[in-house]
Amino acid sequence: MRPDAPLLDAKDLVRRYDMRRGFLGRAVEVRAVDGVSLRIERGRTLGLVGESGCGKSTTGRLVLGMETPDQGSVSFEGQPLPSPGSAAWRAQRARMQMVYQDPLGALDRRLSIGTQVAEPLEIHRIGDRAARVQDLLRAVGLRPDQAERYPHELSGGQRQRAVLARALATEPALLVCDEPISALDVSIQAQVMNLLVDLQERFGMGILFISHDLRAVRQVSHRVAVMYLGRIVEEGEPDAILQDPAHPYARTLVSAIPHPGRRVDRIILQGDPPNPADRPSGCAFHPRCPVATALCARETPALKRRGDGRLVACHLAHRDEALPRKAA
Amino acid sequence: MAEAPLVALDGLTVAFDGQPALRGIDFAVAPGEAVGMVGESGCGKSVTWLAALGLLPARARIGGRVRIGGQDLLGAPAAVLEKVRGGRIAMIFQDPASSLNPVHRIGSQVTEALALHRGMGGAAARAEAKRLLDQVGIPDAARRLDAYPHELSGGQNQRVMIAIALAGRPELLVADEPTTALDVTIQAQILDLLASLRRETGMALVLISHDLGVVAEACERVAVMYAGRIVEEAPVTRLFDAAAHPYTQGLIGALPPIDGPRRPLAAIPGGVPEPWAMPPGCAFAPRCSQRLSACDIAAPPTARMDALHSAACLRAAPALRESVPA
Amino acid sequence: MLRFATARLARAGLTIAMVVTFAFVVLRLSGDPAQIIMGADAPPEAIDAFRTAWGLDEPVWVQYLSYFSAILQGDLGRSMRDGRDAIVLVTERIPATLALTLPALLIKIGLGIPAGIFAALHRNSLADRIVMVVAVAGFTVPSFVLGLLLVLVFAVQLGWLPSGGQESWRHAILPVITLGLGGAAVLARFTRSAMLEVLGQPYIRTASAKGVPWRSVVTGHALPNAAIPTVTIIGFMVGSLIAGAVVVESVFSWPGVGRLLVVAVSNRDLAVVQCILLLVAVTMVCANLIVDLLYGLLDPRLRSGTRKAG
Repeated sequence: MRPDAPLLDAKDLVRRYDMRRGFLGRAVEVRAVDGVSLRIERGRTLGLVGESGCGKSTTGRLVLGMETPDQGSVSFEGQPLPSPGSAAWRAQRARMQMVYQDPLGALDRRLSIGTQVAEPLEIHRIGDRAARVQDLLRAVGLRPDQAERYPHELSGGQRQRAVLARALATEPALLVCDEPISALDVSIQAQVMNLLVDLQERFGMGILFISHDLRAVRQVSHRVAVMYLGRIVEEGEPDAILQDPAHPYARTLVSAIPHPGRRVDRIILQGDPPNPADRPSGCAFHPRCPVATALCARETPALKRRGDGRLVACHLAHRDEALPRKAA
Repeated sequence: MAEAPLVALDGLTVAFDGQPALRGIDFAVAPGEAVGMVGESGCGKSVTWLAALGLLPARARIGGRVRIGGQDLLGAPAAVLEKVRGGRIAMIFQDPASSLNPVHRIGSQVTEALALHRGMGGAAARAEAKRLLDQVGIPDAARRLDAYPHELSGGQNQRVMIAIALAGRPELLVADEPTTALDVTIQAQILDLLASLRRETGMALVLISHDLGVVAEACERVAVMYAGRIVEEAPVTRLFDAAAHPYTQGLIGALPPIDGPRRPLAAIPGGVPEPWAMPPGCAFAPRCSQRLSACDIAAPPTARMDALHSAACLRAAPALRESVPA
Repeated sequence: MLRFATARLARAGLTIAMVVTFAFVVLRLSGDPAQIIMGADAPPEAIDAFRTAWGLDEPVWVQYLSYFSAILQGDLGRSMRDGRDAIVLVTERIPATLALTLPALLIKIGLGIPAGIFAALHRNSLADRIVMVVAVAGFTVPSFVLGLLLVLVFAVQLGWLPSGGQESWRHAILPVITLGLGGAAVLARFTRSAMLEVLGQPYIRTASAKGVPWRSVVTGHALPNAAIPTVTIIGFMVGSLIAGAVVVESVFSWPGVGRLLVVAVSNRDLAVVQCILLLVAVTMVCANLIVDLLYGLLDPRLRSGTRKAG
C-alpha cells in the first residue's frame, strides 16, 4: 500500500463481449466498456452517470475485479488488482464492497439480518462479532434488535440499510454502489443518500456511485463522470456540469432532469439509445447530436482537459469552449 | 373546477382480502385537463384507476361511485365497460415491453382497438393504424406494422401503447408511470409526445407517477396520495410554493436540489405503513414532524384552503393554521 | 437456420446413440441371453454353440462395435428367439399400439386442455378444486392400478366390456380410457398453470383496458401465449405414441409393441429390445424436433433473428 497513491486508479479499461444477435445470428463483438479511465480518492465519491447499456455497471464490476478487463489496468491502493480467485484477491475483497440496486435480491431470504451482517466477519476472521454487528446496524440506522429479523420482514429502505451494514462489516476502503436507490421510494431514497454521505464522513471510504439520476449523483458525489456507449464523455465537478454541461449529451441529460417549478426548454433527442453492437462511427453520439458536424461522424473525439479543468470528449466543446446555448 | 367533470370518483374504496387499499377517494377530472397523481408505491394511485375501469382481479372488493358523463361504471354490465375502456378512457402502463402481447404484430394490436371502437377493418384499419404510428412518432411506420414488440425498443413500444390508446379517440388517457421503465432521454421524448398529443386531440390526461418532477412538468393540477387517500390537491405551482400537507412538504424536501449548497436532504423518517397495520388516525402521523395529539384519534377531514387547494391535515384547517406555528 | 438445424440433428443423433448404448450395457449386465433362451438345463455344448452363432463369445466391446456398425448400415439384427428380422417383428406390432395410443392422445388433448383452461379461468372456485383433485388423482394413481380398477368395475362387476384381448373395438375401450385419463390429468395441470401465468401478464390487462371483451381476451390474447409451454407436454405425449403403453398393454394383454418389449426383455432378446428402444428414441427425437419448430411458429421471439432494430 502506498499512501500517496490514489485509492483506485483505473486506466484505459476495455471490456468486450460476444453478443449473438437474435436466436440464430452470428456473434458480434460488443465493447461494453471502451477505454474508460477513472480515479477515486480516499473519502471521496465519484458519480458515474449514464443510461442503460452505457457500460456503467460493467465499469463497476471491472474496478472491483469481479470481471477482468480485456485491456487496461486497475490498481488499488497503488497495487495492481490480484487475479480473481487467488488468496490475495480474497483478502482484498474485504477492502472493496459492492451494493446493488435490489436489496431483496442481494440478501438471503432464509438468514436473519444479523447472521448476514456477521457473515463477512466470519469469512475474514474478525473477532467480537456480536458487538460489531450491533455497531454496524446502529451505524446504518437500524435498531440492534432488528438483527433477528428476516429480509422480508423489513421495508425496502431498511433492507438497503442492512445491505450497507453487511458491506461495511469489513471496513472497506472502497464501496461500489450500483443504482443503490433506484428501486426505492422517493422518501426512502433521500434517507439512503443521507446515510451514504454520513457513513463516508465517519468511515472515510471512497465510493463509486453508479446511477442514471443526475440529481442523486450531485447529492452524494465530489466528481461526476458521464458515460455514453462505453466511454466517458465528460468529467468534472458536479455543480460545474449541472450548471454548464459542455458535452451535448451531458447537456441533454441535464435538461431532462424533471424539476418542479423549472419549466425549461428541454432538449428532446431524436431516436433511441444506440445499440452497443452497432456503434456509430466517429463520436458515438453524433447521430443523435443536435450540433454534430461532418468531423464528428469521422473522428472519435478524445477525452481532453479543457482550460477550466473539465474533461470533455467533444470536437465542438474544445473548438470553442462556449457552444451556442440552445442549438437544438 | 367550474366545468362539469368528465370523470368523477366519489368515495371510491378498494380492499383486497379484507385489507383496505383505497380508503375513500373523491376526485374529478375535467374535460381536457392534465392532472397528476403522485405517491409512493402502495399508496393506491394505480389501484384507483384500475378499480374505476373494472380492471382489478375478482377478489378486489370495490365500493363508492365512478361516473363518466352521467354514466355509472361500478357494477355496470360488461358491454358498457367495454365501450368505455379504450373508447372513452384509455390507459397505458409502466412497462411497455410486457404490456404488449408478444405473439401479435404491432399492427394487429392497433387495429384490434380500431375494430372495437371505430368499427374499422381491413385496409382502412391498417391505413389508420399506420397514421397513428406516424402520429406517435414511430419512424418507418408502414414497416413497423408487421413488427413484433420484441423487435422494438422500450421507448418505441411505449409509443405503440400510446397509439393503441389513441385508436379509440378517448376523452381521457390514464398514463400509469409511463416513463418509469425508460431511460432519461426517452422519458423526455414520451412526456413531450404526451403533451403535444393533448394539444392536438384535446383529451384529458391523468399522469400517475412517483416522481413529483415529472408530474410538475406535464400537469396543471396534482393530487398527492398516501396510504390509500388523497392527502393534498392543488395546482402545480401552488403545491410547490405552499404545500399544506407535511407529507407533500416531505416529498418536495426529499428531492435533491440541482443547485445551491449541498446539505443533507430533508428525508421523511420511517416507511409507509402496511395495510394491516394502519394507524388509527392520520396514516402519516407516525412519520410526521408536525404531529398533534389529535392526529392519532381520527383520520383528518379534508380542509379546503381555497377553491383549488385542499389538504387532509389538521394543521391545514384554516382555524388551526392561525393558532399553530408552522 | 442451417446451423441451427445441423446442431439439432447432431444432438438428436447423439441422443439415439446414447439410448442404444444404454440398452446394450443394461441388457448385457443383467443376464446371459444364451442361458435364458436355451433354458437352465440345456447342455453346455448347446449353449456354447448358441453363443458362437450369435457372436456372444466375442469380447463385449467387439460385440458392441459390430452391433453399432450394423445399425449404421440399417441392419437391426434378428430375434434370438425365432430368427426373424427384429424390425419386422416390431413393425407388425405398431398398428395395434397406435390403435390404443392415438385415441388416447385425442382424449388427453380433448379433455385435458379444456379442463385446464376452465380451471384457470375459474381459479379457486369449486369447479377448479374438483378439476385439480381429479387431475392430481389422475396422475398419481399408476396406470396399472387405474386399469385394474376399470377392469374390476366395468368387466368383472358390470360385465359391460371385455377385460383383455384384441378381438373387437370394444376390447380397446378400457385400455384407451386408462391411457387417456392419466395423460389428460397431466395436461390439465400444465394447461392450468400455463394459463394462470399468462393471465397474470401485463398484456392481458392491456387487452382488457383496450375494451376487448373477456372471451376474446382469453381466446385471442391468453391462449396463444399459454399454448407455448403446453406444446412441450403434447410433444412429449406424441413422442410416446409407440412406447407409452407398455404397462397398459400388459394389463389388458394387448399385443402391441409394449407387450413385445416386456417379453423380449424377459427373454434377453437383445435385437428386439434394442430395435424397440431405437424406435422409441427416434420417435421421441422427432417429436422434439417438431416441438422446436412449433415453438418458432407460436413464439415470434424465437423466430426472428433481429432484436431491437432501431
